Amino acid sequence: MTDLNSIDCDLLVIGAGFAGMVAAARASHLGLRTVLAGNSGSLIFVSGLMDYLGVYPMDAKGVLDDPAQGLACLQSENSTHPYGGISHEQIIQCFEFVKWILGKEGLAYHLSPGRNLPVLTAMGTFKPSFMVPRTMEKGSLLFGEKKRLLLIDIKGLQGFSARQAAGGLAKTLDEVICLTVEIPGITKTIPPIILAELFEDPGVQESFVRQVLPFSNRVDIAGMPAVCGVHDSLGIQQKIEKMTGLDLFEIPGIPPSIPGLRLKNAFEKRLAALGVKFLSNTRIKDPVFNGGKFIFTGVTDSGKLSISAKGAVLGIGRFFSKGLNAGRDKIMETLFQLDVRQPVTRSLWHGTNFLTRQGHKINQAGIETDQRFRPLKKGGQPVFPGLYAVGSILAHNDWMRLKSGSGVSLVSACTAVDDFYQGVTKAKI
Amino acid sequence: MTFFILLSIVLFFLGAGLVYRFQDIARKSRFFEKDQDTWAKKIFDLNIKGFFLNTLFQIKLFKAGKLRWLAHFLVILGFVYLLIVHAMDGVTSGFFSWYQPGIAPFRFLRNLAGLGVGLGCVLFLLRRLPRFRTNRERVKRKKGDRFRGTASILLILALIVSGFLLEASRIISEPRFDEMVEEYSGLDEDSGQMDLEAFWVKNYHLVLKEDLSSKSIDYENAASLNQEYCLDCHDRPDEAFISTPLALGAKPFGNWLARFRVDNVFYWLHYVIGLLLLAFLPFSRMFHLIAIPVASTRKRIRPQSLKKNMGLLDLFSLTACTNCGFCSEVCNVYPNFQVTGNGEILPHLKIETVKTMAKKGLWDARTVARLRSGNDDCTRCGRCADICPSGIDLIRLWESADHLMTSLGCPDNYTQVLGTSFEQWTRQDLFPKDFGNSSLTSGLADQVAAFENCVQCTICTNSCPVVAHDLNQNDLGPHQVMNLLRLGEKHMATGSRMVWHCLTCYSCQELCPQGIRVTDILLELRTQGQKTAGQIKLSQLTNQGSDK
Repeated sequence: MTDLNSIDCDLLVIGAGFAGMVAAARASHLGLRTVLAGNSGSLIFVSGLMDYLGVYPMDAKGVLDDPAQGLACLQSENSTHPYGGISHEQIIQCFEFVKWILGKEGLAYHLSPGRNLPVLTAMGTFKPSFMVPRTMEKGSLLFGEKKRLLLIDIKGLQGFSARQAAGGLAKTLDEVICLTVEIPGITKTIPPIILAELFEDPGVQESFVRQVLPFSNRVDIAGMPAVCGVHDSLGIQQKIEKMTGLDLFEIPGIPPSIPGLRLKNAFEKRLAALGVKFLSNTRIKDPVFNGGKFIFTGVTDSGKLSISAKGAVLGIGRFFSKGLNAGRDKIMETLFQLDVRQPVTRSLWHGTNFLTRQGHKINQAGIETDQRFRPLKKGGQPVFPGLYAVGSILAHNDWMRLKSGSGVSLVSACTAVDDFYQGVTKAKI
Repeated sequence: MTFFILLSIVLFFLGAGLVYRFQDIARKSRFFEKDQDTWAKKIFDLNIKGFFLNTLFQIKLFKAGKLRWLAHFLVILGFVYLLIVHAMDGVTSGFFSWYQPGIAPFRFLRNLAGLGVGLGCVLFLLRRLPRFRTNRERVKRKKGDRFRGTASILLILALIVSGFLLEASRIISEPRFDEMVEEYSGLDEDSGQMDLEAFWVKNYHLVLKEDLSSKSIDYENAASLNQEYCLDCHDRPDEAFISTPLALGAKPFGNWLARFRVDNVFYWLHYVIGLLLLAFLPFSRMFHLIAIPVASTRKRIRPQSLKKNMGLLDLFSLTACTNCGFCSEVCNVYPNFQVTGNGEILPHLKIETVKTMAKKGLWDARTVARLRSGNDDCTRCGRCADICPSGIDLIRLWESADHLMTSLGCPDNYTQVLGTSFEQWTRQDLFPKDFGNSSLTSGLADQVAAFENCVQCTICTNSCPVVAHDLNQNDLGPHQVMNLLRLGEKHMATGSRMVWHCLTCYSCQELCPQGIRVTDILLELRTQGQKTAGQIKLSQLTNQGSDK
């Protein structure tokens, strides 16, 4: 239990959520010796869609068609939003980097050429996103020409109902047919992960195709919940498309999310290939900044280890991931005890209208940083030279309302790591 | 005549003993079977190949250990030869007129067979010395059992040694010579008995009281007399390569031996030992000579027929065990024994306890509880049955013992847990004070911080292969177990199927977004549950015993 191993690295990425994964990938891509520590379980909660900016300004009615327009508006207002100091081109580059990284592990993404993509949700609504898995790509093309749609749900799979989605679509599309497919051997409920694994079985695929085939002449395109295999989802989808002669697309659903699981697997594989040391399920504690270096203690179930790093990227998430802790009167950051930008009193955390367009103040709370994502002290100076904060922990970032969660995460991660990298190389020269 | 009376008594004793043993075995075997049909059907389900391979060639023993096989084979071959050709020579010579025990090559063969048996027995005994045992074998055995084994070996060895001594003492014995001469030739002092004596002294190592060297001997007459009366049955004894040197060594004491008729003493010794062996065969370790062929001939159990055969505890298998200990050397869960020290994990000790249980039922609460726990540790990997030189179908045995214990009111911990009421979980006074800790010990499941962060997101349940396999069973998922802990219902959580079905694949713990050690908690609940269930079971067994 007292065995104290030690690791030395250039950059420690704390938190293995989406932002942390991107930061670690970026860092090792740049050639930094990178250690990633944390729990990647939160990736199972993501939909797999990567938004850029879906709504702006906060109180806007409807959604943005062109995120660049929203970004221009945001920057002209001198907003403190994390996008504040970053150009559209930089943001696109970050998206392309993530697409490239995931593509290397066979998880193909479709990056919009410029406009937001309207993605069909399980509620029958459309959500603006910017980069979507290839398996969902065709679902964003429903708006163009008039298409006859087949909505498929699966008996036993909870959280997705074709009839519910069709109800939401009634105004948008003329012809929607609902179909419930039965998987042999499933009588009651089946968890999504198990179902997705079942879909890799050719027998299950054939049974699925047999039940869909009678509809192939009556519709142009078919949508199904995102359970089409865990490992080679696109390959399986293409195989089923070939067998049914129908265009097929996946619809993101509630957690546990299979696209999220695919993302997690792809990142973990890629990071291993890049040589990132991934300390899974290791909690980072007791940071010490001494002589230009950070020393951390990593705590696992069975022991402790010491990690020294020139820089640290804080991607520890918000309340759910315990990066922020909501006390009775105050919100605290849990690792460095950084200042948290927050409403003055608890009574201001939430408004009275749950679905208010202005959003709730608490969702804008978080770590205040400069434009290079370095956390700031009260006086506006960076707390430590090599410390960065990325992802959802950032302040002025109501990503749920603005539909910009993944965008902010990957842009802040890439920008922060790039900045750290420049600092390191400059110091060497 | 005396001998025939004795033999008849012994044979009667042997027959009665065998009938008793067989009846006993059949009666007790039936006692535990589930229904009569199974037994009737099983008895004709023969494994002829197994019988030949394992009885005639002892193929399993060969696989288990070459030296042991050699020792067995020496003993068996030699003994069979001696039994058929030597012990039953009355019968043998009836079939083959040319057979005479005293001529070539039978003298040589007899010595050879005797040597084989003797060597085999010595090997057996040497192997029993502590220094020749492997570490695993040094596990304690029951004293009575070791004694019975060693006694059997010593008895056989004594039989062989007395045989050699008998032959040697007869070679030099004058009174024996006189008896033979009187019986077969009718020679007397005048008609050349002295000549024949001298001839035998010279060629057959006979030892005489009086010194013939001073007298004149007609050797030609002696040779012709020898040819006439003796040569048909007596070659020169030199080819008895063990007895003759013995006889030569004993020559200086020849007169003394003759005076006390030591050859007759050895004669009776030899026969009495032989008869003893015969008489006690059904009750000594030697019974495995009969039990092993029977056990090897029984059809082996297959996983498909396991259910049907449960509860069929046949005593033949149990009596075929020679306690050789090979099974425990290969036992898959030997490390469990090293950790827990529970001898009932090891097959060669377990089978003894099962034997006792077959006879006496749940006779001793503690031993039965240990047996239950040991048998539950067994993974049924089948290595013991594979190596068992006696060809015992051990997997069937363990399964049957399991079934038997359950039907006698000593269920496995899993059943025990599910059948334990909340009152029983918490009734501390039930637990005997000296049987380990009397309550659940403190661990992760008692630390609120370990599970309070659970947000009931169901990721664990969704990723659980047990839940996936058990879709139509209405029991709790991991997240519900965590919720029970949050509600303070640790005992209820322990009783849930999830805890006992968990494969410890750790997918829930890996995926938990809150970093809760879900699998560790489930495993801990199970471990503690095992302990408590064991205590409750012991207390129930003890109470059962006191009711009687």
